[in-house]
Amino acid sequence: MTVAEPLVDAARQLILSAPRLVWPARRRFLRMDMELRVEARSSDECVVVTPVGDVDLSNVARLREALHEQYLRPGADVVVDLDHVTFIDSAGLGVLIGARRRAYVVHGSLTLVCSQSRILRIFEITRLDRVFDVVSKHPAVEAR
Amino acid sequence: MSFATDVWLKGGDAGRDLAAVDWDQTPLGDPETWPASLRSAIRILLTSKFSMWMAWGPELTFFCNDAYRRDTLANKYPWALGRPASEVWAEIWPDIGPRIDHVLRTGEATWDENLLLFLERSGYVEETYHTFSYSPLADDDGDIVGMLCVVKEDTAQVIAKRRMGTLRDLGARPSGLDEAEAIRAACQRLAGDPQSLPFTLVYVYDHLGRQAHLAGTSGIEPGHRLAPIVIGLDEPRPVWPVTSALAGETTLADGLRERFGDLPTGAWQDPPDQAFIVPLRQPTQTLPYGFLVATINPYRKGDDAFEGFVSLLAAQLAAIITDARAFEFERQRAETLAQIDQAKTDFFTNVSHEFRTPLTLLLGPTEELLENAADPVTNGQRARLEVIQRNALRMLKLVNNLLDFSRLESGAAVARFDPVDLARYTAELASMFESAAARAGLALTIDCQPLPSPVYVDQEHWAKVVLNLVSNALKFTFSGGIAVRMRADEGQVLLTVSDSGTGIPAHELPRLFERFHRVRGAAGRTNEGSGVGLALVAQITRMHGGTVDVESNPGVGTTFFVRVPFGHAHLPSEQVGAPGELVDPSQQAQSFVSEAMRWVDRVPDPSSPVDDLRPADAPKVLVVDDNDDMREYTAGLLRPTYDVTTAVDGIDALAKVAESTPDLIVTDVMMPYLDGFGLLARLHSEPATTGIPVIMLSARAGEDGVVEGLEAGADDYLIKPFSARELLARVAVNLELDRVRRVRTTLERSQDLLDQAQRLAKVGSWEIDLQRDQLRGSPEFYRILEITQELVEQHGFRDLLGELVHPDDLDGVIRVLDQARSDAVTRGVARIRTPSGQEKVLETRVETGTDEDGHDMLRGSVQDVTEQRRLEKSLAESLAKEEAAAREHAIAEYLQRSLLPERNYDLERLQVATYYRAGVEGTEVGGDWYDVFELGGGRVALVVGDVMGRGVRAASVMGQMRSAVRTLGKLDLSPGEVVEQLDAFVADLEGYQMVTCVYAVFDSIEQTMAYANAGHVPPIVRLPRGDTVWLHATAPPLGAGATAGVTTRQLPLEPDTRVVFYTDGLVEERGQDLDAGIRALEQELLARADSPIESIPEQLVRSLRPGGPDDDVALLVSQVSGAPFHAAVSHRLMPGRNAIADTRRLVVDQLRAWGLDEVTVEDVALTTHELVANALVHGDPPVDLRLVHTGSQLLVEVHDRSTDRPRRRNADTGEERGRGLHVVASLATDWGARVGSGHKTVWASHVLTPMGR
Repeated sequence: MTVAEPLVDAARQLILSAPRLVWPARRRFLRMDMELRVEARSSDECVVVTPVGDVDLSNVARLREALHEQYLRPGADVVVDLDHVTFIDSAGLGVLIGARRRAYVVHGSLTLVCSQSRILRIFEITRLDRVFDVVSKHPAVEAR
Repeated sequence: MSFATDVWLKGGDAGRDLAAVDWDQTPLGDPETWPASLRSAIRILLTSKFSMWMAWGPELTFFCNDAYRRDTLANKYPWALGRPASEVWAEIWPDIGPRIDHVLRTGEATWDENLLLFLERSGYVEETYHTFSYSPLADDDGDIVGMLCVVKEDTAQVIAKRRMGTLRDLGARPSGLDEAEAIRAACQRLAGDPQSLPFTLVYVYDHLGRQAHLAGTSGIEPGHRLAPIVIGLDEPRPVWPVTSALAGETTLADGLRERFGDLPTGAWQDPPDQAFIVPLRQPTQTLPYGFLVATINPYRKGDDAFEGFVSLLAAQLAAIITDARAFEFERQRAETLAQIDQAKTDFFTNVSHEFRTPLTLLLGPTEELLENAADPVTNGQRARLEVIQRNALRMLKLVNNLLDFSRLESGAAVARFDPVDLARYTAELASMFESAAARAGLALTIDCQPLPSPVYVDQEHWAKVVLNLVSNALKFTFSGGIAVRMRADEGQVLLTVSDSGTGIPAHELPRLFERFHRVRGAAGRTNEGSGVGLALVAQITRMHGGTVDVESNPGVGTTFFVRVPFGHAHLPSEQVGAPGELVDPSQQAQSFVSEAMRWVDRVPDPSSPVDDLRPADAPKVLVVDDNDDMREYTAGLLRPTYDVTTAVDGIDALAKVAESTPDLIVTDVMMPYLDGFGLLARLHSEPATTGIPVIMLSARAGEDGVVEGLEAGADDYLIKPFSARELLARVAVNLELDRVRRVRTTLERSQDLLDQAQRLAKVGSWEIDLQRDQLRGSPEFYRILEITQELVEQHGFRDLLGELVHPDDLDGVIRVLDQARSDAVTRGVARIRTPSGQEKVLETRVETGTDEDGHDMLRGSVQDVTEQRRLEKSLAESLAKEEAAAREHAIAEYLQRSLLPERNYDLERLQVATYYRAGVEGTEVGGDWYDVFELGGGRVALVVGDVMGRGVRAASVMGQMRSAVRTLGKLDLSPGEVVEQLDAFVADLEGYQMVTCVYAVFDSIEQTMAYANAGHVPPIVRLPRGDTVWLHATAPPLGAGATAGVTTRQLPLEPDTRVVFYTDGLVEERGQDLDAGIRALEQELLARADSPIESIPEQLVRSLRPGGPDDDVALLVSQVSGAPFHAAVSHRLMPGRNAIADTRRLVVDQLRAWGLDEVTVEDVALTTHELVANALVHGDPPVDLRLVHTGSQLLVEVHDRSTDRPRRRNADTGEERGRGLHVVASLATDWGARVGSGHKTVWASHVLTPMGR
């Protein structure tokens, strides 16, 4: 047992016991507007979260809420499909990093799916391609 | 046209808000139905800039314009619009209702000036003043149905006037009050303004700073629970914040009503709720005197204006306390002085009395001896007794004078004022001095005209006035005469005593009549005197109700004026006597006259009896004293043993010394013309007399006098009174000492001569007694070897030789000594190491001989030839040194060249040509440098500088400077900041460094150059028109330690503008004005307007320094090239939810319109987005964006109003935020931030690939 584990456990308890008032589970369309729409779709294996449109500072909260909601569930495996993202800025990357941390805390996982070279380039530039599991294809996404 | 568009729309905000009123809910109904008269009234109202409101209809419905809203209505707007006027102004309706009623009833207008109204428009009841007029408004039928009010609010003026009045009252303060009275008086004035200040308290700290005492109040009783008499600084919950006031802080106390309940109300109905506590600052101290508590009128807010008013009150109060304390201090000082004066008078009175008894006992027996006919004394005894008598009398006179004076001053003397024929009496007194004047060769004029009536004087006292003045005149007059005159003058008797004497300096006149004051440095016949005479004259004259004045011109003469009134009305009646006999003045005058006779009769007695017992070669002694008795007494004591001559003062003494040099001088210290110290100085200044021993005699007792005398160079010092034996002993001792000293001096002098000769030749001589094995050397011998005779005796010269001589040379020395012969000199050279570690080269010469006892001797000399050898050696060395210097020159120059940047630059819109040349051969390389580097964002830094000094060191400092400038420049600091930072950098360099430097930034987009110049020669800017600008220093040189707050200057640079940066080597010519050199450079620059820039530096150097530069020259010429393709767009971010997305879209559209490839478009769009997002989150609005396309690069600039520099953080992988600038740094070619005053610009540039363009 490492020193950090009790802390992680405490955090886990905190997250799991949080009241689920904000967003009811399994809601399909979290929110919609012209800039960014975030879809969430669950299957047996995982939940696919799909942001559609530009992800930036002004609307990044939406993506954050959608992802955090998924990680209220222990062992949540989340796939984020980035192929419908037209733009992502550093704030958007920040949300993905936050999600990854939550995934770790709840013993879940985060997988990014991206085949767009311009979005991949941003991950390369920021060296985040080494941090995330980025795949170009994912069965759960293909099944859509 | 509808009513709405016609009237409301022209009525500003008020019109718009009136339009929004639901008029159907009012008695007036739909505006479209309103009568024409109402409409026109509204039109007048709304279009006027003057503050107005009006009411119309049965409920007096309220209308107002913008001005009224702004000036008066405040929070009631727009609620008030369309409501009944009685509701709008409910709180003042009792005041204005009757007035409005009057207008409506009678159709007469009202007028009120500065009417006090309590309005509730700002959330509290407010004291306001208004000047207004109500006038009737008639409807279309001519009936009065409304009223119009034109109003001006005067609150500010009325209140300001009231406060000014209070301040003015406080400023006019009576003097002469003590502190408590002064504060109470000030508080009474504050009580006169209960409107501004409902109540006030003044507290003063005690001198220990432990308590504050209530010193005054207004509007509240002392002792009230808000006005405790004493507040301790250690109280846990003091009523007022005593400690923060002591710390000099002004505080605002709140919620008084809640905390203390029932309070005095001042002029108002309600008590105050707030108070300012303001320290009363002392002008020169950190701690305040105390503090003022000023409560705030409950109907006004405690705003800045009130705080200003209260702090002025506090300043006035502090000034009042300062004045009062200063006054108190002065009063106490005056009292103390008066006490000291009294004590002095008492002391002198007592002492003088004590003197009289012993004096009487001296005088009586002496007189008896002199006059005893039955047993007459011998002539010699008679002469001595007469000396005793004369001097005892003189002392008695001094004591009497002092006593008179004290008695007069203390009022103890009771005078009797008899009517006297004053002219006759005065003439009689003055005439007593006739023979003395004649003896002195002075004319004594007595002109006392008969007076119309007798004058009431105390005869004895008056005699003192006349005798003192005349004897005084005689004392200080050497040629010409003295005039005593008396006449009636404007109801008074005027006595004038004038002389043609030495006069009194103007600065001495004010103190002339002060007791014991003596005019310093006055040339008189004698220094004798007590300093009481003139004070006595003044005192007596005052006693007679008169005055005494003096006029004097140094070198011309002095006149005393004594005025005494006729009659006796001014005199105490019980002291006024009847006519009687004139007192015979001769008795009283006797002591004055005989004293005067002694001064004028200054011929030394030539008939000193010569004592034959004295040996013929007796030492000669000169006795100098101005007092005849003293001089003769001293001389008489010495005469039996010595050949004595006498002199009456210093001048006379010098004459006597010139006639015949005495062996010893005995002199008094205090003498007229030239005193003892003066005489000593003159004797010492002459070589012939400097050796004469001098014994000083002085009456000045105490250690100080002795020390002063000995320090002045006296050989001995005797204090009066001294005994005859003591004097004789001292004279004998000093003569003997002097004789011994002279013998020794003669001997020493001949030895010195020899020694000096040896020293000059650096030759020391020595001899060795071979039998006794002893060595003796001359002083120079010991000096050269740095040993002493004692050392030689202690160690033996052979051992010493082994110690001193260099081991390699020791054998040689021994050989030279062994081979010594009597017929020839042998010599050798040897190195020695002296005890102090110095190495010397000595040449030794030796011969043998015998001494007077027949002992065999070795004699010889040593000569220090170290210098000589060194000279020979240094000749050889200097050649080697020259070579080394040339090598160093080469190194420094190489260093310098390698530190300067390469000469090809590829810069945006700027051509640059540079030049560096070290000074011509023979001088060393200096620390000049230039530099050119890109800052990104289309900006280029241009640097030229000069490190003072030369050689490798200067060149290496230059290298440090150059990288420091580059580092600071790359931080995107402004030129001013760069210079400030450099100054600190230079100050940190080892050793004292002085560096001048110009740092300039050329902005190719703005077309400007910003610069700062730290003490450097001014770069010259040649504008395209042909004008020039010199960029003068904006700061002192770096390292001077005075560079703070350096401003950055900026100038526009159009295409074709040339700027020349250079170092002083280019323009400085020995013996020539620097400006002339710079002007020459300017002319050359103008003459070469058409030459290509690459050739300019060489040409400038060649024409300005035809023989090659003496000093280093660094030169940098830049030219702005013609504007290339470039385009720019600016965009201000409008606040709103979509600001970021809209901006992004705009950027993408613009970049595509410029035909950039998609990758670049995306990169730049992301960069821009991140910069904008950063500005919106961390900066201050407004945020401006600018995109510039220069052809070769694309520049993004985001401008906002905060001055915090963005910092790029190394966000770790778990961190959600702080990645924006990381993205920018990765995508952009370069990025940075410039902070100006009140704004910053963050920029990023993208170099466009040829394809991207």
